[in-house]
Amino acid sequence: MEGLIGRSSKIMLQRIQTKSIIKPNLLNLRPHRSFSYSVSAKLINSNVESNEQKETSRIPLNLIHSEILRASLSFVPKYGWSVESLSHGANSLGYPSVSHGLFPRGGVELIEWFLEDSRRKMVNELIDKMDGLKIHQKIRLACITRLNYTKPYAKKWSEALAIMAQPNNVQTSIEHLAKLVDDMWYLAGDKSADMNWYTKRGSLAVIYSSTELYMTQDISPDYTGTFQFLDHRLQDIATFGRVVGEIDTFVGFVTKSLVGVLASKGIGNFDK
Amino acid sequence: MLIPIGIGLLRPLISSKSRLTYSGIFRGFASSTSQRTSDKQAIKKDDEKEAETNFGFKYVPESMKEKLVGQVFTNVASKYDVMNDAMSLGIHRLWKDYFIRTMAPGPGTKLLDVAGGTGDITMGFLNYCKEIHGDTSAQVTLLDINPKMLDVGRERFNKTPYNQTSQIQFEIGNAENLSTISSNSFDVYTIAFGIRNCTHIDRVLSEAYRVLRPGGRFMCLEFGKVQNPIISSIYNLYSFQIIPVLGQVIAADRDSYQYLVESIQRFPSQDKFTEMIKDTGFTVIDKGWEDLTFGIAAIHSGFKL
Repeated sequence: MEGLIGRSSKIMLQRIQTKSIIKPNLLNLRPHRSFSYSVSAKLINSNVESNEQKETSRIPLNLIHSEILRASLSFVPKYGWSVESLSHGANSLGYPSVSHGLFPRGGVELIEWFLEDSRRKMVNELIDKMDGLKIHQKIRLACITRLNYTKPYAKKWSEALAIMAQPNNVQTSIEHLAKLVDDMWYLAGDKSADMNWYTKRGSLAVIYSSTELYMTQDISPDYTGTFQFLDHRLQDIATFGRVVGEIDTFVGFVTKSLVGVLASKGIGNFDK
Repeated sequence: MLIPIGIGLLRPLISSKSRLTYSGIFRGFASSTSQRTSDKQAIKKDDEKEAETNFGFKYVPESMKEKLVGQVFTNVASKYDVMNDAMSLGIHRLWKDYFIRTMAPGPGTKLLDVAGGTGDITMGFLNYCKEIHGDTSAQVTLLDINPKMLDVGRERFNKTPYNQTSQIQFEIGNAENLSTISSNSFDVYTIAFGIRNCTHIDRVLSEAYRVLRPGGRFMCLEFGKVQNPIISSIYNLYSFQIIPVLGQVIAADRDSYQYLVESIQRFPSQDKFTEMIKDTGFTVIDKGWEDLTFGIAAIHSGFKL
């Protein structure tokens, strides 16, 4: 969970970076595409700097990875989230098809990169658009923005969900979802520091993932059905949240009175 | 512990009737050099000339290793495939199949199969392209230093439908100096169970780097070191006690197979070899190698990026 809190602070840092364009050198701004992501930290070997000086490669390695993955996305509607998409993506950039070996786990690496990239795009797009909206409107906007990135791949998204549900990949897919809802709530200005922090993210994770699942089988024009589904779920949570709070209070009263009754009978520990 | 055992096994070999004449050559060379004495420059030249390398558990001058290895493979060429099946109990086929599947070539891939010999990798590669992609535009150049092994390979391919296509080119060449191959011309470079026989591994790796296109993949299937101590002891027992005997029984050539098991011991371990691959300039993903069968074999991979 510490990683999620760290993620919130990184968004703050990005916000500072994008706002102070005047002094790029001091803040060591990097070009948009070569942001480090956790996969590249493992992939880059210690000789990357010397590799850069070799005659063939002037481009840093993680940039080549991102380029191939980005090019592969356009082949996903046809070939799915698989090694074929990666091969075609590599081909389209002039690399031989065996370059898909740069991604030894195959299609799942493409999915993970897509999730990471979409999340960052969502954050960058919404950083300045959140002013003047109420919280539930901000959450709605964040969900819609993020769902729009999945739209082009909606037909193949069920395949991606199936791959992510495999035991090898379950952990990373849960992490991605957790980071996503954390970012959404951070953008909405959530400042809770108690149990609410968990319940808010948990409920948003449920809403978002069920909406995405709905999207995979939605045939309405331009996915209007999906966005209606989203609105209904958000309304449900609004009412449900209040009801849950009331039940919580009621259960608390019942428990306290029960403890009191038992104490009057001499059962229970007394502080003396 | 293994070296004394190996040498202990070697002694009866040297004294027995031996098809290889390397021991005779070695002694002859040594006796001639001992005659050069006082001149300092001559002694320096001697040191340079006698830069030695390993040939199994023996040490031979570098210039001799190529010739000696050539003799080994000329002797085993006709029974090479049979012996592979016998020694590895057919597991080498699984290794090579997995190797090709890891490569997962797309249509139209150009492969340079170095030390391809009898063509197992080439065959697997062409079959993969045909069966998975229905592709007949994949090209292979099968390169080997030994003409006898190439002949066996050629005969083998003559019996397949591939002899009517222009998908395979057979070439004689030295992996350390691919003078006939232009730079940036191949998508994949493979060397299966060949690199430990080369005298200068770093030169082989540099040549591999040169001939690959940007984005191209270097793949090496080679024997490795077994980490698990129990498996390791069983494997060593099998290698040194059973394989040379199999060689004697099936191919009537014990010494060549003795060289084989000794050269496996002499080859650097998986992580050292990966360091050499990285030093050449290849980009290595994650660990850089994958162990097969507890590390008896390993697939090494690098990208030219």
